[in-house]
Amino acid sequence: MRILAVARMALSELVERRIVAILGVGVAVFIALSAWGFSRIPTFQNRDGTSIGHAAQLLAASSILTFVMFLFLFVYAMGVAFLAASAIATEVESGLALGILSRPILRVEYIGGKWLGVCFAVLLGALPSVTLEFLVVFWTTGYMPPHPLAALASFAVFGMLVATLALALGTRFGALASAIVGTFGFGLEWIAGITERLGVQWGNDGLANVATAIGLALPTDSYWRAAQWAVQPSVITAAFNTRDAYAKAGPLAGALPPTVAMMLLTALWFLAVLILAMRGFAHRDL
Amino acid sequence: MLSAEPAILTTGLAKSYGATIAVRDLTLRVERGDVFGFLGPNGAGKTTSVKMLVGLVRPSGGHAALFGKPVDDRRIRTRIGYLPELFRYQEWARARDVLRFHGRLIGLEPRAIGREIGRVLDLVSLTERAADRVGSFSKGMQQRLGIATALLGAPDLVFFDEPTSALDPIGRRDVREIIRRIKSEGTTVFLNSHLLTEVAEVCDHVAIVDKGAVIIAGTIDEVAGTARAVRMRLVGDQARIDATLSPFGLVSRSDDWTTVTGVAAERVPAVIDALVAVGIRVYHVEPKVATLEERFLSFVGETR
Repeated sequence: MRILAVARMALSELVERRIVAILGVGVAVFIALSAWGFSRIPTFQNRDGTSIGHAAQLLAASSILTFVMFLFLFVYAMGVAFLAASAIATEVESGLALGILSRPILRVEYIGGKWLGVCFAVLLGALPSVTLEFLVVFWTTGYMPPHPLAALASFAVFGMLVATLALALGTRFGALASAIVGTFGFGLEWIAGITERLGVQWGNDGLANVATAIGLALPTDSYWRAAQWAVQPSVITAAFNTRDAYAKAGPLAGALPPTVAMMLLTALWFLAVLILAMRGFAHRDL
Repeated sequence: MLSAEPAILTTGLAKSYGATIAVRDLTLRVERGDVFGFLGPNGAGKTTSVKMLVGLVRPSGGHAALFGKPVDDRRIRTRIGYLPELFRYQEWARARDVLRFHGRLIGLEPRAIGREIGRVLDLVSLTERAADRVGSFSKGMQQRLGIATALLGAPDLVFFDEPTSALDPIGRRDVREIIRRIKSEGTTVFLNSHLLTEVAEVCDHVAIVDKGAVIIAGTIDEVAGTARAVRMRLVGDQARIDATLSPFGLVSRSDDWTTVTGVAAERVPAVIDALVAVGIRVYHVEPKVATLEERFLSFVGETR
């Protein structure tokens, strides 16, 4: 299977270039530092010197975990964008693709193989580190997110969305430009998500609709929200059990799970972006 | 089973990028088992032509077939090897990993891949460096690896785009040996090179292209041997020498030597007779067949 040969080579590159090792060390440092931080939560005290209590500790742990996850997600999105953008663009720019694509491999298979390799790397980067972070938080504070598997899945989809966009751009543009646009896209969608909720909160339908439309172009924010929902305590989710209540609570408040429609749209988004990239690349002169 | 169609057959092959015409009208026939030299100045459309033949660039017009199959039929690419002009391989990978990857792309059986890697590495004298990273290779060694990659799976047709550009004289000699060896095994070689002496040494047929079209094609003798000259050392009145020689061809002078271009070998005695008849003393006569390089320069010069 030529598609698997390409995917395998893409993964080998990450290992041989020591990207996996460097990321592993980075994640280990990140988790060690956050473990130290979370271990301080049980020592939090009220002004009178008494303990803040178990319930407050759990709430603090969930809030800080959400914040830590957001920071992690931002770095993760940038890393994924640069990794995915270079997968094809660098090989085309350097001339490496000439030797590969003169072989009996369809360009669809080449893109498919690269996409599989990059997605596998994205999952390999996200899933163990997020799982470890959850376990560290649980061991240090006793807090376990109510939907850990959903959080992992949301992270995975988020990473794959950014990776797919950057990789697709890399079939047409240079590596750096594709990575920057991929990162910019994620940032734009995050702002669009906040804007949408501000629009709802202020009763400004026009603002909300524009932000929703922007959000559909790259549904990363929905999966950030989904991850947030999966991590936040069930009591917060219960407080925002309607979209109105959720929206009115403010742009940075708790979240709701993604709808089935959003998941279908995401599947269509992957399909459409990959087909567009494959069609464009199939006609590109190298 | 491949048919007895020519290895390469193009008819009016063309490629343009907007208003820029890279290849205007390439009509070419390369027989199976031939070593075919593809010559032309920079910007003549050679690399674009090769890229169209290996499926990297889509033609704007015309037709191209390899062994009777259209170039966009990917099955035919299982029997083709290609060394790009700007060769580049995964620097982080070991030589044998690069070859294994290409073996998988060709569709070789896992057991055959190991055997093939050993064969082609031996062919390019890189066996000792099989486990070394490509990044540690010199440019010449990377070019050898590129040649090994192109020869993986014993293709029926190999495109070499400037295969010796990074090689020293020993490396160039080795490449000539490799070309002769794979030719003896029945492989067709399409050699795109600027090194005309190299082309003259190994090629059966050549084509000179310029401005995206073939100017002349044929055997080396047909292309180079049609223009002849005679080089002489003469003593006598210069005006009388010029007047005597100019009816025979184009007269040029360098140091003590006088050359008349366009003189067939059988007419050389008549040239000498004419000089002696007017009192010119003839010290040295050297009939000369034009080299491929001279012929190339004269053809390309004519179109510029």
